[in-house]
Amino acid sequence: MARIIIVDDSATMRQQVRRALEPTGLDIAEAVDGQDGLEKIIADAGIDVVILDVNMPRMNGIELAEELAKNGRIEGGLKIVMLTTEGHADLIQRAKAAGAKGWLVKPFKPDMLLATVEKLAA
Amino acid sequence: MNTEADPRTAPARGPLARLVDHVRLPGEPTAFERKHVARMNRYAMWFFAAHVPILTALAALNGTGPVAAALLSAAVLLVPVVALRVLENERTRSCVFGFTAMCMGGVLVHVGQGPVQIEMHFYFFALLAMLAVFGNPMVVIVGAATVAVHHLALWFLAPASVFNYEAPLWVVLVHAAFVVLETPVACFMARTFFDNVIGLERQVAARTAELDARNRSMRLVLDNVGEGLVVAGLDGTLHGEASLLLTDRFGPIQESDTLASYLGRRNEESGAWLALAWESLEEGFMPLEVVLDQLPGCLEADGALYSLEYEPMTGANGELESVFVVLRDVTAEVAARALEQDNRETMALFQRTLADRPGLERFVVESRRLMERVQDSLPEDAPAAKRPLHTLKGNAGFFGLETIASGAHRLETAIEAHEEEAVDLGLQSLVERWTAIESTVEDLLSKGGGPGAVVLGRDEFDRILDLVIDGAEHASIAAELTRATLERTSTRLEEIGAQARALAERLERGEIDVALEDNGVRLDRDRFGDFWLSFVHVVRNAVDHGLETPEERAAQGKPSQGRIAVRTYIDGGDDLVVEFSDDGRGVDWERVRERADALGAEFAEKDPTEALFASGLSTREEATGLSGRGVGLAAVKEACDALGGTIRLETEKGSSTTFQFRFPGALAASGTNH
Repeated sequence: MARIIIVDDSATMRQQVRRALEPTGLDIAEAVDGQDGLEKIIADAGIDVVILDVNMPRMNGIELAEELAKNGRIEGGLKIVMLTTEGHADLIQRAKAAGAKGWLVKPFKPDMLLATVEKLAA
Repeated sequence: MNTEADPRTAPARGPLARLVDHVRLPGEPTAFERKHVARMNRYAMWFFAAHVPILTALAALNGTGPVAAALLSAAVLLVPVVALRVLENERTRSCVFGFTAMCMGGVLVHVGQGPVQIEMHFYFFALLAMLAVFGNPMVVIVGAATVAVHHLALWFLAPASVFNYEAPLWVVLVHAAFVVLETPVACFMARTFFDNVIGLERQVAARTAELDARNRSMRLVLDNVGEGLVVAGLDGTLHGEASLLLTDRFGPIQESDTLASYLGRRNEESGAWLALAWESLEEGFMPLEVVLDQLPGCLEADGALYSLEYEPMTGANGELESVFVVLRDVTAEVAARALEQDNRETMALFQRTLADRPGLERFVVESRRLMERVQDSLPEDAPAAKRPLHTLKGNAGFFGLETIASGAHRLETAIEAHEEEAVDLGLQSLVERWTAIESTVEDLLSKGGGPGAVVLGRDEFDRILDLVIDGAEHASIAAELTRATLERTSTRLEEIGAQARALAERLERGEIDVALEDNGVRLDRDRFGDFWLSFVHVVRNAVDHGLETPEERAAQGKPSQGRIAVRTYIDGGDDLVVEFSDDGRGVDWERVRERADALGAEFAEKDPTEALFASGLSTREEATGLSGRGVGLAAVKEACDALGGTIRLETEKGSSTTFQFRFPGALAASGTNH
């Protein structure tokens, strides 16, 4: 059974992502910034999908993706879906270079996030 | 009309006609056919020229007269030599070789006299078949005819030249039978050769012309279609042709161009998104619909705004092969929409100035304060900006200002998502829009002359002009002019009337009859400002509580249209009176009493009129948003008291209510006098 973690410093955004992914019936964890996310992902080998915000305090989403690539989690099958606002194609390119597979532009459509996560988690 | 061109109306052609059609080559020779036939004619010339020495040599070897052979073959050769000089048409020239071939055959049979003379006849059949190489059945026919004439004539005139024995006529006919057998087949071969090899070029040309016509019409479509159309492969490369709009605005498409690189030349950011999206399409990690949904929907380039649409194109196996991209210039459309929105909002504001000027003024003051609070809190203290933003959104929506409401909504969303850039941009555009709205409102509120303007009615102007013409004293002219700096009550009365009409419509009181009478009264704008602002409550009170619905009125035998009358006049020298009356149901004193008692001793002791004007009293069970909060008439009384005025209320149950506001000495206080 796949497990998802939402890494975003906005509680509203975490709430929206959680609501969008509820239909999957998957277990959903949350982290409030990049550092928190990194710690939780390292501690839990069962997490296999990360919904990742780009702009966050302490450690941003790109840095987190790069960390996860470094310690082999991405190679191990961890799927990253980036969430970003318009105008940051370069940031997504960096995250993709680190191994992120999906990306969604905020404000995202819930069904689009759901379809992406379902495809990646399958 | 060419009936033959249409197979349905053309008469059926007989077998003979079809045979002639088969033998006669159609149309003019094409360049390719001319070249081929000219080459064949040249080869034939050399081939038959070689016959002269060979036949001469054969005659010498065979002892059948080399000189005669040389002369005969040279004479035969003379015919094509002359024909090539005289005739222009290569097809006709070929026909001459049909004749030449058989004559040379005849010379061979002649010089071949002896034991193998009959075998020499093989040459006729060999030549007849070889004539098919011209691709012209007529050449074969000419050859066959020549050999027929040759045999019959020589059999008759010089049999030794043809037969080495005394052959009867039927032998000649046997020879002829072989020719008759070979000729149609050789003709068929020639014609087939013509149609499928020589004529291939003609077929290709016809198909090419057809394709050209189709390409031309396709190009015509691409050049005239209003959209930019192009197909991009899964790797992003642009396939085939693009419509003119695209190449016209974005320049020629380079061979190595992808959609991203091509459009990216004019807009780097959109190019980056397209590159990202196409990469994702190719990788196939994300669902197709998600990638398509996130492709840039619009693009700004060189000051123009384009919309982009994408149509996935799948191959026979249902797999995505390419994407059809449609780009439209929506600059004018977007500008028109923005203008339309702007007009709509200005109209909404304008209606507000008519229906509820004080309300609009309050809205502006309050919104300005909310905007200041938002700007003060952003970006450091974002949460503190949320409450004023939310209030602003609600108020703006109520006043029909969609752009402000949606701008506030976007900013709220950006604050919630912690998107600093989006917050900056959102705030900036909201401030811009608000500034524009504020200036529109200021224009509207100062309509009919700003605070500094002096407005003269036609009657007033005429009166002053008469004074000047009559040579009146300067003091009296000056007094008239000074009076003109005061505000005409007619402006206020018109506003009050408009408010009453708009309210009546909103509250389903139907159309109402409004009578205004200003009697040329002018008042100090600043002194009476608050009083007029509070007057809206009198209007609301009358329309909401006083006037019945048209049905109720009809049931009571009243005219179905409610009536409101407002007038200003001067009484007793310099008392100003403002009178407002309606022909509604009158004040329900019992109800006022009940409410006053319910509110406690403080109210219960008051005289009913006083209670009506006391703060906190409303005869309504629930506030409607218009009246019923119990503050309205109290506000009017307060404004009236401030000016030293008195209020008198006259009401008759079921038929009318009149408020009379009297301001003793008001005109003297205003500095001048009618």
